[in-house]
Amino acid sequence: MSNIIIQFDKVSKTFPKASKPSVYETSLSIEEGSFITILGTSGSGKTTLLKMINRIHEPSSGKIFVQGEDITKVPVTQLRRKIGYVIQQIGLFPHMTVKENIATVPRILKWDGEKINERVDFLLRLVHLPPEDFRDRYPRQLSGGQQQRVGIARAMASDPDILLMDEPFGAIDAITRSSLQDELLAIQKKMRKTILFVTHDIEEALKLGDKIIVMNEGKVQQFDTPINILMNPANEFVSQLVKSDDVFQLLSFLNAEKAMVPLQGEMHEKSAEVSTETNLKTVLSLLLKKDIDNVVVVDNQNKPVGQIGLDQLKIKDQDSLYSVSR
Amino acid sequence: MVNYITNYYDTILALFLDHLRLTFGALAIALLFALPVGYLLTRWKSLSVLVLSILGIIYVIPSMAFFALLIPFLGLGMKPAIFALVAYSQLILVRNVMVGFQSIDQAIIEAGKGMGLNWFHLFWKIELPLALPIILGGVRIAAVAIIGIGTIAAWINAGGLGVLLFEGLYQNSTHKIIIGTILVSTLALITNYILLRLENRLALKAKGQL
Repeated sequence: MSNIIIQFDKVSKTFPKASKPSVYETSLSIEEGSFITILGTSGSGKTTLLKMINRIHEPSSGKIFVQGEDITKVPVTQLRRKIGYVIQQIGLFPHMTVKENIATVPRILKWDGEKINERVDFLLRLVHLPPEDFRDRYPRQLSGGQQQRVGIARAMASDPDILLMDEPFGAIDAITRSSLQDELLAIQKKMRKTILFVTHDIEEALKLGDKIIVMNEGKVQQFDTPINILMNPANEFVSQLVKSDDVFQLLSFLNAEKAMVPLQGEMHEKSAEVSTETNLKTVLSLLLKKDIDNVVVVDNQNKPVGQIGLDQLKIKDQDSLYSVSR
Repeated sequence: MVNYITNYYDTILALFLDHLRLTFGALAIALLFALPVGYLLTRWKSLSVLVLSILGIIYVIPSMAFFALLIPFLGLGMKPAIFALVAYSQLILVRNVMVGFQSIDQAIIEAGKGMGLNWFHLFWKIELPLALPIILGGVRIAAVAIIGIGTIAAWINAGGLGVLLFEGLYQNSTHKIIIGTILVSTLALITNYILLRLENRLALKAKGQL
């Protein structure tokens, strides 16, 4: 049983002077410790949805609960201090060093100096910036990727349970973005934070999310696992979204862990072994071989943890099947 | 002229100190108004056009006329002089305070809010240090303007180096005019220099280059 850490109850948001609501009657439950990506085009309401959680935007109607508490019932600064916040423009304080940036909230919370120093160094190591090199630098002396690493470290300074990330890697070059994604996944694995991550990039959403919220015109189109979004789109919109990219290409952003089902019975003779990190494109190409009809997924201790057959990779949506066969 | 200086150096010094008091007194009071007004106008932008227009009108009233206008209400002396100087400097100061706060990248403010800084922390630790170089630029221009206009305040008995200039005019004494002019100009130049240095220093600090 997992705990629900964030709950939306019929939340709507209409901005002043806007004709249509940005978010419309949305109800969602987010499980503790999960990595949720929110996918949508600009204007879909994905960022509004995110920014209502830390009350950067206030809902027009409906209620949001964080850790069981109505967020309008706690002082806003107190709410925000337990929710890390990372934005695309990063927003580091230019007149403060890296250390001062990260230590902002701990200092307000009056942690003692020794504890702050330890925390800053720990976080810098976590985001792969050697503290002795980076502690005393100013933001302008860092590259975009390094700045966002500091942004992530700063967001985690007071050890919040939740991280909200609004297209954090949107302005970062493709190569750096990819390594930041990998590191964020590693951080998530280690720290078990609940992460809500807004992106317009389907590859990023598939790669990072345990589950994906697909948004369009203020409504949740589908809230599901990456493999289901890809293979079993709930409606026309999601199906179009998935189709706009090459499905085989998209499979390469999912690892075996995300498609495997529990092991059943004895291991097949005609099976191959892959690690949990192997991408599904590779898995599929194995399954297409004549003498293999089952793939066993093993963890890094070589222990079998699940299996994948062609069944798991079947596209259930008629429409996308048609587009693939074309 | 050397004779005049050696004989009357204490009078000259007194007038110089008067002028300093007048200038920096007016500047301090002006800032007390301009800082909150400028900051609040960044929040209520619809009001800013009105307020800046009014301040603009005050700014173009000729100083002689303004001083004369104030005599029925505030009499003669320091009081009306400081009132007028404060009113004159508001346009420059309020505008620079506004620009200073508006020039801050909104992402920085959003990041600050998002991490749970309250109003006070956000203002004191983030907004003010980042706006300060531009605010100080306004203070510098206002200070130099006040030093200049302040000489005319001698006409309504406010004292200061203007006394030397007016006496020089009435008594047709060139050395009084020269001494007065040199002292006023030197004061303006030194003030400008010191504030400019400070402004540059704070600008480097705000950009994280110091």
